[in-house]
Order: sequence, then structure tokens, then C-alpha cells
Amino acid sequence: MILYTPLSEHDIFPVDDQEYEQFKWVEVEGKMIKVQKQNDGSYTILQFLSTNPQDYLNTSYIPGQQIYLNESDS
Amino acid sequence: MNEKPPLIGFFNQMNFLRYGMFKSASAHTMPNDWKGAISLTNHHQNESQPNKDNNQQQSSLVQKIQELGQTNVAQSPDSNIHVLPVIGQIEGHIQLPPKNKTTKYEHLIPQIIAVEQNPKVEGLIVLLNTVGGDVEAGLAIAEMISSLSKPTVSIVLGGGHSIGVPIAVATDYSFIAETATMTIHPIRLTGLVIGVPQTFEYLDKMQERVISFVTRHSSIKPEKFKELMFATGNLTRDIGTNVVGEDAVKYGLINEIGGVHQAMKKLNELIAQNKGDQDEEQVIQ
Repeated sequence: MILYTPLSEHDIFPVDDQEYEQFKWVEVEGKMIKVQKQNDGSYTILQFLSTNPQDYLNTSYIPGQQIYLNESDS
Repeated sequence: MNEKPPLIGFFNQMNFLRYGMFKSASAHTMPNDWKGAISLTNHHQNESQPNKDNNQQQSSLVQKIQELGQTNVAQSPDSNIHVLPVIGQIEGHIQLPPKNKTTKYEHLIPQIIAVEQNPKVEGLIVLLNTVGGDVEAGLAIAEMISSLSKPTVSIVLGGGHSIGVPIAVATDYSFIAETATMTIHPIRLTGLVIGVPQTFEYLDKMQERVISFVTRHSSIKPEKFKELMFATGNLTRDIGTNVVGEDAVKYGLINEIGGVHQAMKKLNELIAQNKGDQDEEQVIQ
């Protein structure tokens, strides 16, 4: 199906709010990582954001790595 | 030869993972005023069961192969060049659904400031593979890059479309991969500007901002840029032009065809030049 419209796809087919909630960006040691929540409460690293090329070689931030986040609520 | 057997290297790395830096920052040692701060603890915490441990090490190895296609990542000395990737859609005021790959300006702008402030960083390389996106967010990123005091070089890989064009030309010198393309088209009539539907004049003014930015930062003439922008017959049901690598250089939009090697060489040249200028200034003072 081809829709010829100036509207974007998500304006026509709204996205479920839950889809937004399973992903989040967190800051760890000054570096931004995008994580996805897993059913067991852990998070999987999806994307890593830094301008320092060396940071991408740090094995602790490898995408796919499973981590636990200690979230401080207050 | 001083090479370690691969197995020992592997276990060393696992120890690093297990006793790595994250442990020291677990929640109970965290100061209360770290609002919203989040710390990591490693997944592998079961230290009294060597068998299970071994399995976990193995699964971690499998994971690494799955994610990176290799077990070990290369290490190299500290870099004086930082890299700013601009990928997917450039996200503006509206959050896009998570399946979109996006670059957020609220992430990039602090990074650009950090690059400017950090004395160890001498140059910035901007990697573009973007389909474009929000005009204001894109222009904001482009303005930030162009106002950096440090040498900057961009490489367009794959695509630098739409609002990716001003970002590509914002650097001191720009490269485009031979197969990469840039789509130049007028601003679309979608979306709202600060909650108000815009008039045609407003859109025209906005477009003028893009055109003036691109023509100020590259050698393309405004007439030529507008001609490409309003060309018909290139895109389905739309006006505009898809400019491929060599043409982008021919039109004066991009400085040169090239990839990583050429870009790094140019950036190192610019860094050396920048240093020379600074030394000269100090002598005069």
C-alpha cells in the first residue's frame, strides 16, 4: 500500500504509549546510553552516544550488554 | 614476541567486566543529591559459583560475537579527534516513535560544547548518514558546528539529505563518499511552528534561512541551489534533486570526494595550521 500524503506515518497510525516507555536514555559516568527494558527488570544497551571514539572500544558499553540500573527515585 | 595467549586475554577482560568501574557507584554509596542519576551494576554478580560463572563468561562471549562479530575489540591510544555522528532522522520538538532511528539535538549540542571546552580535543569529524528531519533542530546543529573554534571536517556517507545539507557544509571542509547522495528539496508543508499553522510567507522565510546558510558555508551559488531545489522530474511527486557524490562537488556544495583517509588527513592538516596560527598570535602579543 502506498499512501501519498504529506503527513508522516505516525500521524496516521498512532504509536502505543507503551512503546515509548520501554526505551530510555540514561547517563552513566557522563556518557549517554539508550537502553531497552527487559521482562526480568534488567536493561539491554541498544545505543551508545559519545564523541570520544575511544569510548566505543570500552567493553562495558557494548550494545547488547545486559545491565541492571539502580534508579534513585527521589 | 610479547603476545599473550588468547585465552588469558579473554579472562582478563572478563575480570574487568566483573570488577569494573560500575561497582563502585552502586546505589547505596551514591550521594542523595544525585537526583535522577543512575548507576550500573554488572549483570554477573554470582561470585561463589565458579561453574555458573564460567557459563556466564561463555554467554558473554557469545553475546559479543553476536553484537560485534568478534570477541575482542581493538584498543588504540587516546585520540585528539572527536567524532559526531548524525544518523537517522534529526528529531525536533516532537518525539518520534521508538522504531525510528533519530539524532536528538538536545544530545548533540551539549556534546559540541564539550568538544569546544575540552583542551585535549583538537578537531571534530562529523559523520553524516541522515534523511533529514526538523528544520530548526538541523539548523541549530549546523550553526553550532560552524561556530566551533576548532577545525572541523564532515563526511557524507550514504546520505546527507534535506536538512543534512546545511550540517554537511557547516564544517571547515567537507567530503562526500562517491556513492553518497544528498537530496535538495524545498521545506515541506507539514507540522506546526510553535503550535501555530504557518503561512506561505513564513515557510518562504524559513527556506531562505536554509539557502543563505548553505550558500554562506559552501561555494554553491544561491541561483544554482534554488534551481536544484525546485527542479522537477527527479523525484516522484515532489520537486527537488538527488545529488550524487561527484555532482555535489561539481556544484560546489561539497569540497571533495573522499572517505575516512582523506578526511583524517585534511583534519590533521587543519589542526596543524590552527596550532601554527595560535603560536603566531602569542608571539605578537
